[in-house]
Amino acid sequence: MKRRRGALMLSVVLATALLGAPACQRMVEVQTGTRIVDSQGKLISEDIHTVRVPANTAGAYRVVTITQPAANPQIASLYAQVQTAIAAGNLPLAEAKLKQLLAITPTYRRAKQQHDAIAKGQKVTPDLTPSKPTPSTPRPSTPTPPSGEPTATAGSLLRWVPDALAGFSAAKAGVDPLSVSREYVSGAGNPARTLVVVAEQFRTASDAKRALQAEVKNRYPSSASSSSIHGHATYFGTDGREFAAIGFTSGAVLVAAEASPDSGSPSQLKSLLAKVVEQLP
Amino acid sequence: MPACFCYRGGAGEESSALPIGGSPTSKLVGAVLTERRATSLLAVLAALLGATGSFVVTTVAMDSVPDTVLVGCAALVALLIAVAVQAADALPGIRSAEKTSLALAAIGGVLAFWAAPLIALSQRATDAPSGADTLFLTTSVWGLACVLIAFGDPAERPLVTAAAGALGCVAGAAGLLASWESPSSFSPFAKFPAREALMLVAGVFFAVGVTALARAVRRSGPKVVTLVALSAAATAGVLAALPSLPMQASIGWRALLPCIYLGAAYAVFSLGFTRSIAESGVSRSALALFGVPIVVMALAGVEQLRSVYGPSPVAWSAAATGVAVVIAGLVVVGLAGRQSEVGRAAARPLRLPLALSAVACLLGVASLATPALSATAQGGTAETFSATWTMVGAESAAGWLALAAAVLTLAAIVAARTGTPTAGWLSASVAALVCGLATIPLASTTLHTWNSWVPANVQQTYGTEYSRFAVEARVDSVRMAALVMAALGVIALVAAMRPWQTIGLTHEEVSQ
Repeated sequence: MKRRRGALMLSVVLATALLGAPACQRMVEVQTGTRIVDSQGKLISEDIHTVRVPANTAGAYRVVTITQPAANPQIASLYAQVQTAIAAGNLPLAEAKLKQLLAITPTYRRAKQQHDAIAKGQKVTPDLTPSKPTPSTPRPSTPTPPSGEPTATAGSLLRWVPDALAGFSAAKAGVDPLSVSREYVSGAGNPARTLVVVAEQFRTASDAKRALQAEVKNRYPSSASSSSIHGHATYFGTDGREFAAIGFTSGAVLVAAEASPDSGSPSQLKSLLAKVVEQLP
Repeated sequence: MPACFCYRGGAGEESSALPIGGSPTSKLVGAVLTERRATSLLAVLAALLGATGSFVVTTVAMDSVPDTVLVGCAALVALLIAVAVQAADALPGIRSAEKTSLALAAIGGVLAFWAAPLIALSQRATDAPSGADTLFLTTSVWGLACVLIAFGDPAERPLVTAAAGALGCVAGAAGLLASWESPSSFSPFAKFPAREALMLVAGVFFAVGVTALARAVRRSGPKVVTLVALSAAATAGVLAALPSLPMQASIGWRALLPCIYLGAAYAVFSLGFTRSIAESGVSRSALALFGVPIVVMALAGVEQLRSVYGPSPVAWSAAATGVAVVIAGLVVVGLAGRQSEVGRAAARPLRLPLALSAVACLLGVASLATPALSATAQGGTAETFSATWTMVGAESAAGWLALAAAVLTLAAIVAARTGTPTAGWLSASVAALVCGLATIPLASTTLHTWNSWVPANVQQTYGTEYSRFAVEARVDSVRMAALVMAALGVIALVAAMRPWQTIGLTHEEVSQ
């Protein structure tokens, strides 16, 4: 009895360690910020820092790399002449050079501020920092975690290709890095000869919508109609010959079901594909 | 119990296999080559080959044949082979067998030879879960389930070292499979936890089925039980496959060819496994499952040597270490027979070794939760993801090996205290040292490459020019303390038991 109690206690400790360790919120050090490089990959500037965040939000932190055209030596030279003129107190020359410069690139470093200051008769100081252009399109250093967009895995996509669909026998799901597909063989009396369901993960919901347009709406333009089924805004269409498809997006996931009729027009499969969508999550 | 079959052994059978006279070497050879041990070894080897064949053929065929058809037809083919091999011997036994025994064999057959493989197969897609995960969960973990469930049956209950040896086998297999690729696809319960949990449920079905088979074998013998079990499995399999058979037939019967290959593997496994249960018990039969990762590894090695491949993804030194640990565990399980068959010497207190090993176990459990690895994931192009985090001992091969070393030490000491034969506790002590040493080459082997929170596009390109995943071992003082305590426990045990004084003696002589 004592031995059993000891074994039981050991099991409890072991189970607690096993279940407890992964359950604790893991903290992760992630890098976030912006790196600016020229078109040849040479680093212009970077503002990157490491932050410690809970693991479940870590996927949203990135280092954004912005590529800028390489600095024009002529512009840099012109800007250097401006700074020399300002340092020497030759403001008319500086103003003339600044006008030339701003005509070429209106946002170059402090050129605009210096020109305005000279024009208003304000005190102006030379820019003596090394050549380091500012990004033309400033980006937030810490990306905001996108809401409702899962860092998807093929595993989470498998729910879109269920093991059972009424009237069909499921084949094995084919799993690719960011998509899953499954073929379904129709049973007796089923108007469809084949059915394939595909789910593909995109980075953002708008990417998924673009893919819906390109991969479903553009390819199946005939007999097109839209409707809301099971909470999904679906698009139905056919290729006018032998295939019908229904598609919708769910967040950043594109889901599409394609079927071909046993005989007759593919548009007759509209109700069948609608029933398929009703059986999806 | 009917007279038609009973154990050839009994109390003290293990020691009776040892010859009384001769040199220690001849005694050792004689002990190894007794007829029963040879039969038992052959049965385990057959089951091992059958289990390996089943895994390999299933992996190849599962995409082309529906699950129910594959398993059902394979069970039918296995039955036909078993009938051809054993019907003449088994049919008279079936007529005279008890109904209870036949029912147990049928239930065991349905659970172990049909339901368990079908459940496991239905959770597999092309590479989801990965082959390494699947192999680990459906062989090593199923073997562990068999050993543990054997403790629930008084007639099958093995020595305590069997459980510790099984843990060593599982830890070694994890280290081996996690070294198959770099970065590894081995991440149990990370990517497809629900599917992998169902594979464990299938393992419970298998272990329960094996227990039922063992009870039936004790009553009616292995030949009768194999035929009845496969008949039941084939019946259930064919009934379940009926709805899908016409569809498969419409493709052509050649599409069912994989079922024949799998059926042959099933037949070899079921004949060998049932025979092994009869000869040496449930826990020793589990050796056939624990050994599969080693055989698959060997096949991969042969394939590498005979074919044209690019750079080998295998971390060979780490994989070889995993193999060594599995073999050490196999020896422990193999030498830990049924308690009812093993003679006992006088009990020894061994308080100091016991205290040391108990502390080692506590530290080993604690080290599962202490920092063991530093992990880094980087990837992406225009938007780069870069993260660094700490992984605990439970996510590293070394963490589990340290625990296995501590548990093996404790088991060796408990076995020695209760007077079990020297081979039993000594093998566990050696395996504990092997596990402890294995933590060095496997220090930076992670059991957890995939993380749900790392962006999928980064993880899917690990190992390419687009992203990387790397781990680095950390100094884990808790794990080191556990290993030191385990080593001290082994030293104290050997010093107290003085096994060198009993070399060449039978267990009875030692007991006296």
